[in-house]
Formats: sequence, structure tokens, C-alpha cells
Amino acid sequence: MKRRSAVKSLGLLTGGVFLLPYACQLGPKIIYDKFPLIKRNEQLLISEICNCILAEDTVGFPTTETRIQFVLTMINDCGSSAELLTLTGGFKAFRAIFSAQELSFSSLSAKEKNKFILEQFSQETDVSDFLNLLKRYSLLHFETSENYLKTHLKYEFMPGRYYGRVSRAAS
Amino acid sequence: MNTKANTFDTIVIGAGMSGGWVAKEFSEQGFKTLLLERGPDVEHLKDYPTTNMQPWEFEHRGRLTTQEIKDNPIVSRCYAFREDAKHFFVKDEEHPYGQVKPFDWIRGYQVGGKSIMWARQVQRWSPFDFEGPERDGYAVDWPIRYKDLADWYTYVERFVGVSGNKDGLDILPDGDFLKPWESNVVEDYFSEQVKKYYKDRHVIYGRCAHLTESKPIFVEQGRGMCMSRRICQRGCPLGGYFNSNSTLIPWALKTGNMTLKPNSVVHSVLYDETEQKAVGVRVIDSETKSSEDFFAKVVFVTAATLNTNLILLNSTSKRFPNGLGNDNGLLGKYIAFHNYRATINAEYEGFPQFTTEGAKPTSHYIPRFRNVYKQETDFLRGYAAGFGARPARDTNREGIGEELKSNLLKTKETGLWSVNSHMMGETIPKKSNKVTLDTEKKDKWGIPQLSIDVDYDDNDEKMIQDFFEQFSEMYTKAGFKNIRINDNKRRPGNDIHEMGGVRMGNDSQTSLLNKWNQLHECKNVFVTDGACMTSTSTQNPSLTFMAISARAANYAIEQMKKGLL
Repeated sequence: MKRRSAVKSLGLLTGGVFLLPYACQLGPKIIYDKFPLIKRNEQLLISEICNCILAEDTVGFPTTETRIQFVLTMINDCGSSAELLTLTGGFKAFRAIFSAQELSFSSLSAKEKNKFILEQFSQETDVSDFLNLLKRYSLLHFETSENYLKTHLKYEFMPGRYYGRVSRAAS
Repeated sequence: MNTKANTFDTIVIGAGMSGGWVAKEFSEQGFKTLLLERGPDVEHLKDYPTTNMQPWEFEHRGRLTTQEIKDNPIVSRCYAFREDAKHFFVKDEEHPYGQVKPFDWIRGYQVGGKSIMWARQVQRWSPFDFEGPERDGYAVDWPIRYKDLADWYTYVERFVGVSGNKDGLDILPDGDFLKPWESNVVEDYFSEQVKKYYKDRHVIYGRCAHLTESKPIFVEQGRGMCMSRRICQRGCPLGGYFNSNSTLIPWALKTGNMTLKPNSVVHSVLYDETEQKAVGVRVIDSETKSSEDFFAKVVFVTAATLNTNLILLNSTSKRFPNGLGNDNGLLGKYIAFHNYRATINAEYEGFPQFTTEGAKPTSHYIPRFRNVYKQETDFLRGYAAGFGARPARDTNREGIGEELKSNLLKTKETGLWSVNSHMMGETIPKKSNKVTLDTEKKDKWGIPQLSIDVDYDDNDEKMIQDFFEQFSEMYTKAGFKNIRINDNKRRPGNDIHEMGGVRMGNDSQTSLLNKWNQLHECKNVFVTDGACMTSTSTQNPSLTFMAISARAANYAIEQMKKGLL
């Protein structure tokens, strides 16, 4: 019921049209052996959700792989059995919210998507578990990007020095 | 068949840091040396496949896959078995062994052994450590004292390069050091606080096998200065830290006297009943599984502690039906290790105006302070500890979309310091802690598997509680807040400091090796790796293995020159 009311509360659904704003980011077709039944267009939807949670910034924070490739690879290769269940079960529940209304997440405006995702995060459901899973790996992708490590975490590959008494004001 | 092609002056089993030292000493002094390694070759620079990879270039950002963890429950518990260095570790299913009680046997089967991935901490043992068993009545008396090893420590330190401070402590003798990296403000502060409140406790710089100065010997070795990359476990393209691959093996090969033979699994040491001495070793090619014998006047067994035990137990003959040199039945017994179960961490609000810049590959070190001058607790011996302090960082991961990104971009140091220590406890060697050969299970080369029966005891449990009490007190006195203690319950072996089984001693009835690391009952066989250790002390043992190896090798060389071996 909560899920249904969440969709209703958006009130601005356009329905029907399945947009592909992140199609180019899927890259070559990848079959993930732990969740082979998640189809390419569904991967696309997950990509869209990930980007709603934390958008890829290919200019400011480029990475060697796309967000969706990274998130799905990590869940497939490194995810626990609980995480795999969260992905499949949570994704199913996520889609069910929209299919019950014959609507699609993609058809929502950016503002509506944000509102919907935030509402889901505020509840303790399979969907919020699913969104938290995507958020975890999206964060890992962003926080291990070259630019973030270098400019925000002071990462240096070969520092060659250590100063132990540096004035914070001067650093 | 004994032919010229397979006859050497010396055979060394195992190309880690102990075997590397023996091979270097012999080949440098003109002896034809065969260095056997059961794993593949790892050539310095050439065979470090991940050494220059950036964090973002790893598919899993350093993590193991669930399949890798499932397939390798033992080695995946090792802190360094991660995406960047997993290729240097033995996988569980490749080399199974028996566990009577849970024991994590962490291994590196390749030229260089575990010296590629080691933690590089090199603290000397002290007179208190070599006198410990006699004073406190455990194990057997060491047949050597600190003074017997002091010059060999120096000899090794000068060649491998050790960064350290001259601290002037009797509990942790100084060595021949290269300059240290700077301490940070909180390391200095804690050191002062501990000095203020405790007479015999010291917080010092952790001595480490890294090059912080250029010297002609290091230039000759082809090694450069450490650049604080702190990814040493991948192998260093600069040779900035010491491993056997960058330092000992190329040096020995350069003499033209050493033959390095990787992929050579040693089945046993060959004993000649007529000559009443060892005459060589039987080797199985790890790839083809064909067997071949090699011969020499002297054999050094330095296959790493437990494999050295295995080889000797498997070296049976009419004279030694229970393993080479094992007349007293003690071979494989009195295995000990280091107790790394206890950790503590906290926060410090002082010095918010300071931070650090750059990185260093070591932290601070607190030498043993319990039961040093006299017995003062209800447990024997004591523990050393690490101490680290770093600026804490705060990342706000709340929100989604632009809000989340904005939060992430505001990540900054909080002004607090995170501090932590981990215990390194001495364990008491016991007869019940042992390894034996499995009479039924064999490895893929037809060699019996090792069965390990090693566990903690009450002494270890008491020591953990004492660490928690003492460090909580020290942290509290220093004004650290939010103190948290943790017993990580790690299994024996996970410390990767297993020692003993072929211990040194004065008496052939109670030990296997004499003061020169010769088997009492077979004098041309030497054991100089961790297997020879009579007790464990608290210090990281590798430096002592190397010093003992260099000392024993030079003794053997002397004896050979005199025609006595």
C-alpha cells in the first residue's frame, strides 16, 4: 500500500513513454551470471535510478567504466547473497510500484524522480533496501574516481614525503 | 644419479628472505649454490603485474569477489589478500592442509616467498628475549644470546636498509639505521604522555625495511629510495623496500655461482646411511611431476616454518624413521606464533590546528613493557604494540542527486585525530601445539599433507585482557576519547608469524638444532627460518630469521673451508 500511495502522490505522471536517456552508457551487452534475468532495458532502468541517486559526471569525475557497469559488476562479483536478493527482490518491488499504475519511472521529470526516490528512502521496504544498495556502489564508484581521490582525499600515488606537523590553515 | 650437473656445494630450500640470505652468502664466497623454490619465478620489476595500477583501475576497487572468498576462506582472512596482490598468495584449494584446530596458514609460493608481501617491520630482539625461556622456565634455553647475533643484525640491516631512530632502549636495541620519516604531532604527544606517566614504557618510531637514504650499496643493488607509495605488497618498481627478489637473489645470481630453480617442490632431504649424513634433496617438478635428485655437501632448509617442518618429517630413512634428526620425537612440536587478537582505537581532540602531508610506510611502536625486568603479572611474558595517529576525515553521504554530490565535495578533515594500537603478544611454545604428517591425505605431488594442531591458551587470554586494561589506561591518561577495544578473534596463523617445530637448544634430548642451526643428529643440515625459533618474543621475527641465516651460513662456509663439512 505504501508503494502504491507513493506513486499516487507524485500526481504528475506522464505514463507510457519509456525514455532512454542513459542508453549510451550501457556500452556493450553484458550478461551478469548472478542475475541473468535482468534484461538490457532493465539494466537501463537501474542505470537511470543510479544516476538519479548520484549522477555520473563524465567530465568532472571521469571513470574507466560507466556507473551501471560498475554497480552491476560489483553486485554480481562481490555482492553477498543478501545483496543479490536485495537487487532482484527490490528491483521487482520497484517496478511493481509503476506497473500497477501502468507507468514508468523514466517518464517522470527529474524533479518527480527525485521526490519519488527520496520518499522510498524514507521507508523501510525492499525498495529502500534496493536503493540503498545502488547508492552504496554508486558512492564507491564516485569516491574512487581519479579526480575525487586526488582533489578531495589528497590521494597521491607516489608522495615521497611525510610531514607530520603541517598547519591546517596553510594546507 | 649423482652427476656433475646436479651436484652443488650447497642446496638451499626456499627462496624467501631466509633462503635468500643463505644463497647470497654462499654464492658470494664462491660456493656453487642451488636455490630451490617450489613456486614460480618472480623476477624483480618484471613480475609485479599490478605495481603501477591506480586504485580506480582495479575492476573491484581492491575487493575480492564472493567466489574468491568462498573458494579461499583461509587466505581471504589475510589483510593483504586483496585484488592488487592476491596473485602472490597460495589459494586454499591448491594446497590443502589439515586443521585439528582452526589455523590460518598464509603462504606465498614463489621466488621471494612472503618477502614480497610482508609488513616490513624490523625490530631487533633484545637480551631479554633470548634469556626469557631460561628465566621464566618455558620452552628450552636458547643456545645463543643477543651478543651472538648483534653483529649479524648490523650486517643484515646494512644490506637490506632499515629506517629507524636511535632510541637507546635495552628492551629494543638500536641498529644501523637510515633516517626515519617524521613523526606527527599526535605520535609525539602520545610518546611524551607515556613517558610522563610510565617509567619503562616507550612510544618510538617503528623501524622498517625501507630506503630513506641513498648509499653505494643500495645503488649497487639497483634499488632506489622509498617514495611512500604504501602498496608494497604488489612489489616495488623502485626497490624502495626490501624483498628477496630485489636485493638478495639478483645479488647472488650476479656472482655466477647460484642456480635458481623455481617450480621445484622438495620431497625430502636424502640421508646416506653409510656416510651418515645428508647427501642432497629429492625434488619434484611442480609442473611435470617428474622427480630428480640433487646433491651437495650441505643442505639448508629454509622453506618457511611449517613447510620446513613438513620436509624434515617427510625425510625418513632407516636411521631416521620419524623424520630427519628426530631422535627425540620433538620435530614438529612446540609451534608458536604471535597473538594479534587485541586492538584499540579512539579519538583525540588536541592539535586541531595541525594535519599531515604525504605518507609514510610505518607507524609507531611500543616495545614490550610487561614482565621485562621481573615477573609482575599472572601471565608469562608480554606484548608489544603498534601506535598510529592520523587526521580524521568526515564525509557526509546524506541525500541524493545534487545534494549528495555537494555533500561529497565538502569532505574534509574534522580536526580530530583517529588513534589506534594493535597488540603483538608473545605466545608460549607448548608440546601440544604441533604439526604432523597426515598418513592418508597427500598433495598433488604425492607428499603427505601437513596437519596443524595449534591453539591459544589461558596465558594468551590473560594477555589480551591486560592489553585492554593497560592501553585503555594509557589512552585515557593521554586524553583520548571514545575509546573502543576489540578482540578480533583471529585464528592462530593469521599473524603470519608461525615459528618453531625444529627449535634450537643446547641439549639434543630437548631440541633439534644446535647453536649454529645444525641438526644435532645430522650436522650438514641447517635450519635457519622460523622453524628454528625456540621462543617467539614479541618483535616481528623476519629480521631475526635473516640474521640467524647469515650467521649460520657463514659458520657453514667456515667449516667447509676447513674441510669439516
